[in-house]
Amino acid sequence: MRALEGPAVPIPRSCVHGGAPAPVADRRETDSDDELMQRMAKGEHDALAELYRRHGAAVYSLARHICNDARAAEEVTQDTFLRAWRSAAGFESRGRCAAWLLQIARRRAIDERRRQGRQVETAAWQEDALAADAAADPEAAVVAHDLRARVRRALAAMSAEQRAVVEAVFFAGLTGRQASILLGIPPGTVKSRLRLAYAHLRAALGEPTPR
Amino acid sequence: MSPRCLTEEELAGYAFDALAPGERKRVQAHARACPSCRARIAEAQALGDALLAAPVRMEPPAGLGPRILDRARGTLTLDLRHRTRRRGTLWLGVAAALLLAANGLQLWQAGHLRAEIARLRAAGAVAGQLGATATVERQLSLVGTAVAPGASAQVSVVREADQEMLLLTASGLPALRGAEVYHLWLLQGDRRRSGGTFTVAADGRGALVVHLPTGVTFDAVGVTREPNASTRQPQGPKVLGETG
Repeated sequence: MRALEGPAVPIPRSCVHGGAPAPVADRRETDSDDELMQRMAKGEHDALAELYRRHGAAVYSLARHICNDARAAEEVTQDTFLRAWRSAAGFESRGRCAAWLLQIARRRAIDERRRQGRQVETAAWQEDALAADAAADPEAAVVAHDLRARVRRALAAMSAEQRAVVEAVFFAGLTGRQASILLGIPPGTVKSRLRLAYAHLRAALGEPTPR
Repeated sequence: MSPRCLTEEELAGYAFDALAPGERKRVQAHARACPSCRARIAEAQALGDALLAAPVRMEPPAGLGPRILDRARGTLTLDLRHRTRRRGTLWLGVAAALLLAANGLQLWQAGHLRAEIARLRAAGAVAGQLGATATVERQLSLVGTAVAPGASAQVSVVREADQEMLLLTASGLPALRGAEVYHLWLLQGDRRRSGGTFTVAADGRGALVVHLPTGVTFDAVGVTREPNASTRQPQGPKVLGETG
């Protein structure tokens, strides 16, 4: 992945606990996401750069998927990381930093999409085998890549009707009632299709890793 | 605690964020009291998390990361791609050099910018970019309104040949929350044009550089506090306006 440009930000001595500080490059690569958030809370821009290096593509891709507009996706991505920067001090560490970022991006992108008045459409869910996943731990990156592949395969294998309901509710932010009106189906059918889609995804994630 | 355990429909609704706020609260309340459903809810949440990361992976544009970092540092170079055609990168370099020069200095006072340009030119900091003919055409002082009483800003319009750039440096602005930004508006009679958005550092200082397209004129400027960077008309309160 590409490194962010810009002047290096020295790590304050007050942030180093015991011994000599590790070189900036080492810390950037090995700190967990939660540790990056803690460093961001202390005002370390270098930690924000690393968080973006790891999750910028995922946030941008989600925003592009929801907004279907490059410019809007840039704004959503920017707002997401700036919100993370400003909220770092109050961030509760639960090992879900990536999901937290993506949830912020999803809500912001849905707002943007509503503003654009974009219709719901069923997106293509093909493989992107060449896409890279950045993480502090190479093993975690492999696991994340495998998980994404499974979810995408499961989405691709769903019926078009199930996928349309998932798109309308999860990615377009419609309520069940709104989705039923938009798709021309009873509210009960929205619920049952979501239940089937959920069962489908659960089964796909529970499968052993293909070799 | 709800008397019955969660249905698959409720779990699906939780995973896909399809529950009404009241339903969601009820599901969470039940899960807190029921270990079995707590595990099922955790699984539903993990599935929702996985779905968020599923879209086809696309690389963001190369300039986005540096722009985010610039904003986090409290400065911004405005991207006007969708408002006007870019006319070369000359002024972007100048803007970057001026902002770097301003970093750590006191807020530019009237006349300070001219001296700063001379100093930069003498130091060769923008050699080949800032010609000998650059002039400060106009300077405006902004003061904080009732919602930002301690704030102030300087706006300078710098011209070289037929290119114009607006520089705003502000101080004493209140901290922003969430996706909030400060938005500069250029006013010409009844017409209001967006001049771009900026954020501020922890000490309340921020800066904005705008490459003014040919033909853009204004007779006044103002700054509002907006809920996000996407507003096309002012929605939040005015925080900075001209004196008198």
